[in-house]
Amino acid sequence: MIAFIIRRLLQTVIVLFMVSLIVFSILQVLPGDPARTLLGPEASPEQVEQIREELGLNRSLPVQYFTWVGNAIKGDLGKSIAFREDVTGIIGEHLPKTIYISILSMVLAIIIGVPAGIIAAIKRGGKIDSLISVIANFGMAVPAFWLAVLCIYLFSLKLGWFPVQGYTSPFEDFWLSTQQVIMPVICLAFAALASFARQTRSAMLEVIMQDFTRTARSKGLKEGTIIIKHTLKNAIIPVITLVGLQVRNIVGSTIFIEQVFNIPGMGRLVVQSIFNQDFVVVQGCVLVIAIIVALTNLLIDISYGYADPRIRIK
Amino acid sequence: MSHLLEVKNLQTHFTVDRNVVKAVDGVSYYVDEGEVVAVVGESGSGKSVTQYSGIQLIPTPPGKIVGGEVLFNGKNLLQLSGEELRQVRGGEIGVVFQEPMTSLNPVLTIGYQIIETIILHLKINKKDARKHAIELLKSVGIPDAEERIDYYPHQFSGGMRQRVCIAMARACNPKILIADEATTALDVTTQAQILEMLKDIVKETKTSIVLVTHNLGIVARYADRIYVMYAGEIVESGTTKEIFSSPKHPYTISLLNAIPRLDDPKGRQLIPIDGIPPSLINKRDICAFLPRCLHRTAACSFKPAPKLESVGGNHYTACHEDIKAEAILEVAAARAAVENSSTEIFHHRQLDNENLLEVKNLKMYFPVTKGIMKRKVADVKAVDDVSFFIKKGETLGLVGESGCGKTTIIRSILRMYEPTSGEVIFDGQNIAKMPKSKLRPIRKNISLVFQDPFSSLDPRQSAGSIVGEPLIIHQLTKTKQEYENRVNELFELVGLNPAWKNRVPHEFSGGQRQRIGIARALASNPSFIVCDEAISALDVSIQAQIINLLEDLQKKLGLTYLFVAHDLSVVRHISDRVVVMYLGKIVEVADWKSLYENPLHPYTKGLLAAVPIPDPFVEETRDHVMLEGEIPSVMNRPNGCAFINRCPMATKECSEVEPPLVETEEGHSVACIKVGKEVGL
Ligand SMILES: Nc1ncnc2c1ncn2[C@@H]1O[C@H](COP(=O)(O)OP(=O)(O)OP(=O)(O)O)[C@@H](O)[C@H]1O
Ligand code: SF4
Ligand code: SF4
Ligand SMILES: [Mg+2]
Repeated sequence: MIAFIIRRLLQTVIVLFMVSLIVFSILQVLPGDPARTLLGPEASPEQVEQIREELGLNRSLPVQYFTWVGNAIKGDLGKSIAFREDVTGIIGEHLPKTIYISILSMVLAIIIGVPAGIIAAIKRGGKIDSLISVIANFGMAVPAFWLAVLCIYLFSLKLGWFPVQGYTSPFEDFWLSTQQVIMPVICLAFAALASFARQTRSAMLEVIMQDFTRTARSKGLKEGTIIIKHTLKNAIIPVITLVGLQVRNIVGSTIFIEQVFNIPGMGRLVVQSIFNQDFVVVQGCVLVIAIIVALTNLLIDISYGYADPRIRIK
Repeated sequence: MSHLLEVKNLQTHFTVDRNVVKAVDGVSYYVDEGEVVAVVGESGSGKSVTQYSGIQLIPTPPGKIVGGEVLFNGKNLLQLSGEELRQVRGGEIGVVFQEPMTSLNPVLTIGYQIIETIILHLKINKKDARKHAIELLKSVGIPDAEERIDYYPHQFSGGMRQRVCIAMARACNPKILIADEATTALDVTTQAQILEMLKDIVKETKTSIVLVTHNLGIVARYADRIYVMYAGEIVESGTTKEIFSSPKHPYTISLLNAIPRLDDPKGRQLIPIDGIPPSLINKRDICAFLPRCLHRTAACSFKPAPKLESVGGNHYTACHEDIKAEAILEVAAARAAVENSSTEIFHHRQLDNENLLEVKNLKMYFPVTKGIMKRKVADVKAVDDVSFFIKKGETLGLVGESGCGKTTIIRSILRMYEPTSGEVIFDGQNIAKMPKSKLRPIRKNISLVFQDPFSSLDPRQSAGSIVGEPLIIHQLTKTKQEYENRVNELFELVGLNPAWKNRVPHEFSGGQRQRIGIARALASNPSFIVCDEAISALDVSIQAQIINLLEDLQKKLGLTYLFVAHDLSVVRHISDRVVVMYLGKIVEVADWKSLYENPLHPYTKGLLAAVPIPDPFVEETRDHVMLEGEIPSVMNRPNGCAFINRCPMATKECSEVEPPLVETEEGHSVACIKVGKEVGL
């Protein structure tokens, strides 16, 4: 198991290295000169040259790359052109909001999706199973932003249950904050919830068909015990794999959702910075998101090993 | 008299695609205390469903028990539910299932799985339950039970897992233990160990055992009484001796005629049962064996299905005719004689003296890697310095327990692996290191027939294109017409109707699929065919058809076979010479007669002793010396003689040198120090 973890750690480091290369090259391949963008069209060539010097843009690419990585490791992601501030500081302000709604969505997706899948599997072929299947199929087919628009129209504009948009920290005003995040969280969670329900259902059904479930039954165990102790422990393994995938999906969807609900998180920061042609910020954001996704996946793989003794003990 | 378990007119149906499958169709039987009752029959005859119906382990839907009673201790189990039913399951009736690899939950320790049953039924606390579980594991022969109780199933071999399953099934001292093909998936030595253990359990605890199997040898060795099942019905029942000495039902008789025995006279012709088992969908009220019966009369085809009737004492048969075993043998023999009138008995073929294949010092090592960097730390010597030859037109049998390297040898010969060293001389050319481009034209002379006709065929490809594929790969036919003709010819050669060319594999039965596999192997007109467990997956009644087909083809086409199998009776039947392997090395090689009648290596002796003979009278007189233990992993090869930890003759000397393979008489070689000394070498 230790060797497994170390191997996965090394893999993660390699993945991060490649991510950093890609992120670094974003700036290189983009059209336009950052120095020129920074100064605007009226600047003289000498001014541009001076800024290029300051930003280190005249040095060779490998040197630029290593300087950038070195700084990134120290926590310095450069300076935003538009905000005239440290990128690290800007991200530090936006990131917690995204993490907060992402975690809420993930938790919601799991605590509703997984039990729904279990119930559907136990009552397979029945009405509840059909209902869950219909909802799950709907959830996987509907894009998150479309759902968001629908929710705003229905619950905010028509029914007036929730505020249309905005974000407040839960530490500031918990009640308001909760009211504000309910809709974005549901929209973010819905697709993930649907695939959790489906995956759990099919994994459960598969395990129920296995010989060892029959063995358990032949020992005289109660159906409930069989489901909880025997079936679930096996069925959860493919579900854990799905968590990794959904982390990516949810983080990806925040870009739209934050836009629609006007939440000042990473998603909005990225979009805004793209419009501002503020690519240093984009670069920093992508790097940070990639690191978070890679680390959660590492964590998930390790817990996978714990759930499945065949991986843990050779 | 009341029986421990009495099943009356049980009927279990499945609804599949709106059709009713009568899997169990009016079955009655009983089990008394301390008895070993065998239920035999081929795949799909309803053996398992019969057993599972009683404790309601049938998946419903699609299954449904539509009639009958299962009386156990005076209660009708079919009417129990909830708590009462669960007490019987596992508490009074324990089940050991066929597949040890999948019958245990992979994410729970075996200890948990046993203790859970104990606590449930014996209502004792965790600590005592654990103690009891350790005792149980010891009693079924798990070494270091105190430690291993916390292992997960994947940390055990198949045989060990089956022991765990037995420990679990008998954890609460059930009155009946149902062993559903409990040893089918295991090596013959392990099978014998486990069955002996079950027999001891019966003796010690008066538990009754229901032995569900298709292996008539096992039945002859262990059962007190037998029920023969066919198409969801019991067609014959009686004591083991009655059934084997005077079988009455044509199906029982045909089965006995179809299986090779370890003590057969060599020239014996197997008499296959023609046709395939009937579909159980929309069964009609008529003798189910009718289409395959050699003894049917006109009356059989319009009378309703025969009922079980006594033919003396406790011996029952369900047949309209009064049949004597000899009578049916005559019918069959006469028919076989007509079919084979043109050819001599196979084993008197004149063999060439030329070698078709010669394997010299073949080694196949696989690297063992360790740690994060996958550093090579050792070699797995899967095949270690193996030499043998096969003469033209000969059949060489290759036997040994699973994991001994049989498949690795085949793959190295066929160059699916690149051998580490050694020579593979085929028809005068060394193909072991030959570049692939030069190998190609030679490769078409060597074909392979696989074990599993189900998984080795592409489900979407038509039978015709499966058979014709090698023709295209090796560009053996020029025109479309020529191709079609050749495919038709191949179909006829293996006894398939060319009109079936466009069908896909699932439209064929297991035996037919294996014929397709053989036709494909023959397509490139090879001189050498490797059969890797080619008949192991087939039903007994079908095995004989394929064995006969292989023998016929050999005669007609002058083929040479390397026949790899774990069934020693079949290997004996088909082989001219036999190689016995143990842990990657040859331990004995001889012509079939010397090997089976005068085995020298202790391992060969042990293997042969483990094979049960389908004859209770012969079994009575055999002493069952069991090989102890299991084949170690190739990684932990003992020093000196690899067999040392299981050998009854082993002494210290055996651990010092690795015994070389020496010839004791012409054509008979053995790798054992003791035997070598005895014959003065
Ligand atoms: N779950 C199921 N659904 C549909 N049909 C089934 C099911 N289980 C068994 N059957 C059918 O019942 C019949 C009897 O099956 P059963 O498993 O009892 O045969 P068996 O004699 O035990 O064969 P084997 O030697 O292969 O174990 C078969 O025709 C099979 O197709
Ligand atoms: S009843 Fe007729 S067809 Fe059936 S087994 Fe007897 S002889 Fe054969
Ligand atoms: S060499 Fe020794 S241990 Fe090996 S088979 Fe012969 S007697 Fe047994
Ligand atoms: Mg079965």
